[in-house]
Amino acid sequence: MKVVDNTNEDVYFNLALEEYLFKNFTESAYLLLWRNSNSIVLGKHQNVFEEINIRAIEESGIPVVRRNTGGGTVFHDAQNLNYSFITNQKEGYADYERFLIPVIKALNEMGIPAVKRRTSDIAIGGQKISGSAQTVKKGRILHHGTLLYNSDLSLLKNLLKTTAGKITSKSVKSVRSDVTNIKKHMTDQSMTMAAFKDILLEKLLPDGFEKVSLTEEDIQAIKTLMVEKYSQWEWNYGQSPKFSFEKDSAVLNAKGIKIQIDVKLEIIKGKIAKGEVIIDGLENTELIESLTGTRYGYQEILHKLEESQFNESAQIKIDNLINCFL
Amino acid sequence: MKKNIQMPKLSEQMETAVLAAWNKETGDMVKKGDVLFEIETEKVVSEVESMESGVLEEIFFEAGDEIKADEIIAVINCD
Repeated sequence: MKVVDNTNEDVYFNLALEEYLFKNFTESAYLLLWRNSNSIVLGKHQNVFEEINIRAIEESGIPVVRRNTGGGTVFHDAQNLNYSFITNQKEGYADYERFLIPVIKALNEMGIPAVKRRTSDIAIGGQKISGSAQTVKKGRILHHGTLLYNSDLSLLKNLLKTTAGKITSKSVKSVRSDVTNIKKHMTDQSMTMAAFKDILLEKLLPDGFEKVSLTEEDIQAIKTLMVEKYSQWEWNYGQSPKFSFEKDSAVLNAKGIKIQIDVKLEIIKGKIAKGEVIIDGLENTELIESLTGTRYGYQEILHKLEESQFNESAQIKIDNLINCFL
Repeated sequence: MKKNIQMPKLSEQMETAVLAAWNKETGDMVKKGDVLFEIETEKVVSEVESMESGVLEEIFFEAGDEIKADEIIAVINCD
């Protein structure tokens, strides 16, 4: 087993690095331990708009990035340690035990009472500390997982989906789990993340390992992948499976009169493809025409609605109007 | 000649899988080895490469559909 040295905490870089290793480092088995600063990481086939509160995300500036493996949405911070195994897989499918058992054994040797739960999770006392997912291609497998060491999950609360609208799609849904931090269950409360990482590596590979450093050429190729794919809206948002959005809202105008605004949208590749806006029973074609082709996002829709000046003519606060669309 | 594309059976136990995404559209030229579609099941993503070269003539399922192993999901015209 070779260990790839990486201390970068940029989520875009790290996901590009992982894909680069999976596609190009095909002659051996690799382990990568890595961390991301605050970020939200989606499963490959998820609808981002079904998972996050788009307005809160845009206002927070926290990156939302699509990964190459299956499953649901995960919040990352620098107190969560990720591990990735990249190796051969000749036979078997969805074989999680091959990777989870060594990780659990290493944690147990550190005095952490971790056990396997469901197909791809690790838990302590019924609460999840680790989730994992895989991607396979041409006899190679990438298995990666999270290890919640001392994450601050309170940040997450406002960032997850909270729309009163109805979203319909065939995307892969997230399963919410009750989670706990590993550190809480350790006898040595002074252990830092850096020490946890070093000891885990020792326990995972007790016979030693070869350390691999990336060349300048590797880093350039990873940066290109990061710029062209992982930091692009087209990948992170535009890859979402198509979905429909429906929301019926009653909004008060400046005179205190209730206005009924019913919105239906079809969103394909992250952009509004068609839809209808019905105001007090009458279709408003101007509004929907101005929104068609727009990226489905808070700032983009806000801009189009302001341009339409509908909020002014109808005497509705812009905040109330945009809520009808998100 | 027309060739049927089937949902692959990725393991002995696999009865169904979710066709998570099409990487080609109807009418597209497909080369042997191109990624045709992706399966996601139990949080595992598998890219499925085409065994044929030709035009993707028909698609019978859309992304997100759960499909039985060996079911015909598309037709490639190899002429």
